[in-house]
Amino acid sequence: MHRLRQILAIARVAYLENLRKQVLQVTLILTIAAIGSTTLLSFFDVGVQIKILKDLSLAAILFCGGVLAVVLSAGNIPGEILTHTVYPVLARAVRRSDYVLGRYLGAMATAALCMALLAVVFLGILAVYEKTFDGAVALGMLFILIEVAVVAAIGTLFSLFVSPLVAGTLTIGVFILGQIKISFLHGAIERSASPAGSLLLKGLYAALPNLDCFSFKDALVHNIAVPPSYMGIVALYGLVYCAFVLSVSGIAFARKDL
Amino acid sequence: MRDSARSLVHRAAAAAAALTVALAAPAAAHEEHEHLPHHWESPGVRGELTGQTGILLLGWLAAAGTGRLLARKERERC
Amino acid sequence: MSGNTESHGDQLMTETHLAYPAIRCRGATRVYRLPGGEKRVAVADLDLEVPAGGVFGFLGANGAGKTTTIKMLLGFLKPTSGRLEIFGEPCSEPETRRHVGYLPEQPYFHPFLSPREVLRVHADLMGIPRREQSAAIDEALELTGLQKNRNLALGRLSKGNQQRVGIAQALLGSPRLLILDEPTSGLDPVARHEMRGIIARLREEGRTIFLSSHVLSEIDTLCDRVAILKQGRLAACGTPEEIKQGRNTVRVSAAFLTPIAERELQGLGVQWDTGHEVTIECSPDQVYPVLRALEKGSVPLRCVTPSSETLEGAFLRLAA
Repeated sequence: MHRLRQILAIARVAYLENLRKQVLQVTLILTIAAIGSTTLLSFFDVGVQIKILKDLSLAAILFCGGVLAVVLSAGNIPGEILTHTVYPVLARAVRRSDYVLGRYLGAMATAALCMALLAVVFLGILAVYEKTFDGAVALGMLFILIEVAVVAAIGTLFSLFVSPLVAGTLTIGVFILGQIKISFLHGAIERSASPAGSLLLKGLYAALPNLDCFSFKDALVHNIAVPPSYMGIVALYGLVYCAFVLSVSGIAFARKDL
Repeated sequence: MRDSARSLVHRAAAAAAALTVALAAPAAAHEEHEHLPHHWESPGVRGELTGQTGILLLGWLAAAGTGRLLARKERERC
Repeated sequence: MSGNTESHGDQLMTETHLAYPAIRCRGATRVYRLPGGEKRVAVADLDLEVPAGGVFGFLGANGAGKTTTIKMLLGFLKPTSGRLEIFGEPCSEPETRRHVGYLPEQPYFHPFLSPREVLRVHADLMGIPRREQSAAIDEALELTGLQKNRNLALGRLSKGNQQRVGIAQALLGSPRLLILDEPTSGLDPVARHEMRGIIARLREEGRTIFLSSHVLSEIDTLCDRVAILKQGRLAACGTPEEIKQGRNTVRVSAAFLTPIAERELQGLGVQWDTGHEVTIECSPDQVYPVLRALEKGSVPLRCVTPSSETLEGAFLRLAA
């Protein structure tokens, strides 16, 4: 209980700090503007317009999610070390792994708030067109949040070894490559002529998270049913991935000299 | 401050609208068409995810154990 | 700090604390590896014991290893070799710091938090029960004169008030050991005086204060024992008087010396320097014979000044 309170105290400060990041605010505004601007496409019929609205809005939300993941993770802990705000906290009886978890949860609380705001805007606009609340879209956005959680966990791990700029760049790379892992990399491995190239691609394939499995955009756009059991597997995969990466991050931070 | 924030919002909205219109042309071809299997329809992907989840679970337990071991070694050393 | 009811666990900890020194370092060494393979020894084989209760001064020139030692004590750095303990528990354990309050040299807190919010965060980190937090926070704010500014964002407070916030969070929850790094830095003279009063009061309550400061007059006044580091090694450790070696002399100044006065002084075996005035250095028990010798020689006396080695003098002698 005491440890949980410590983690939540650290998370609360991280959450309040992240809300003040201008890049976050600008990205949120841009994304809301992008979602809103899809309503300007009134020259299509309603059915097509809804599909375009869903497609572009979910793409914009995914892009926003990527930015959130990078911004909230790459400088999360290095920033605290640089500004020396980490010292009074770790001078308390706080485990290093709990500190990492607290900072991460604070970042995820910020991401969840941003996603919730985007969901309100998106679902609100959608409700105007569909004349009903689309629960499937809300669920789809939840999976985008889980994807953000996975990428943010990876970014947190990177940030403990390299500078925030390098960590951010690597995280962006993971985010982009993870989106095309199943759809592109798999085929690239099969088509690869050289053994060395094939080995490299296989290594990349094994190391990268399956981020494309969190995207149900096509199902939402074309109203295709997705088996709940599959969604359960994907959610579990995401949560376990985060747990594993955060455990490794906790160990890495515990061994770090401050 | 308020003026610059307002102009920032206006510029952002204009940029977003321009981006949306630019993407609208190919996106307008949203007709039902033949497509490759989606990832939720592929048993290979489902199997891969299940396997990776299992490996990650074991990895999580191993990491937790390693963390405790390293902490104990540090305690004994100091 | 008063008003805290101790639980059974706290009572046991008190008994444990009395059985062990507050801080113990045995062969503590910290070596940094620089780019290019070079090694820099920041702390070398430090053996130090800080008894529980009282104020312990920790001195050293810049780069002597004070900050590295404090970082090892607080678990920010791992020692390359050796052992550091707080109340008998290894410093590598987070739980060891449960009864430690730390004031960094320049306390940094998030500028959007108010003093009250900072203390609330630290109260949660310390595990102070919710029902006791308000009283503990108010007490710390009162003690450091922050009641008026308790809800202002730290970014809007002066440096001195930000330092007070650092002191307040260190004092929160009545820690058994306080590690204070330059506690009066950035404070005005009134606040410095108040801080010295707080330290004195904490000593009376039986707490241990580990004080690192460059203000030697404060160290001399407040500390029961002092350790001086030089190039990562312990140069001296003892009471301020022991460090100064009790060198007491009296300086007698006169306008000039007459032949009679010179003969008398030679008979006493004292030395003198001649410059724009004559300065005679003697021990305290030789003062009256010297004054009688000067009177016999009709020498006009300028002044009699007792002098002893200051802590600054001892510091320069041992650590520079």
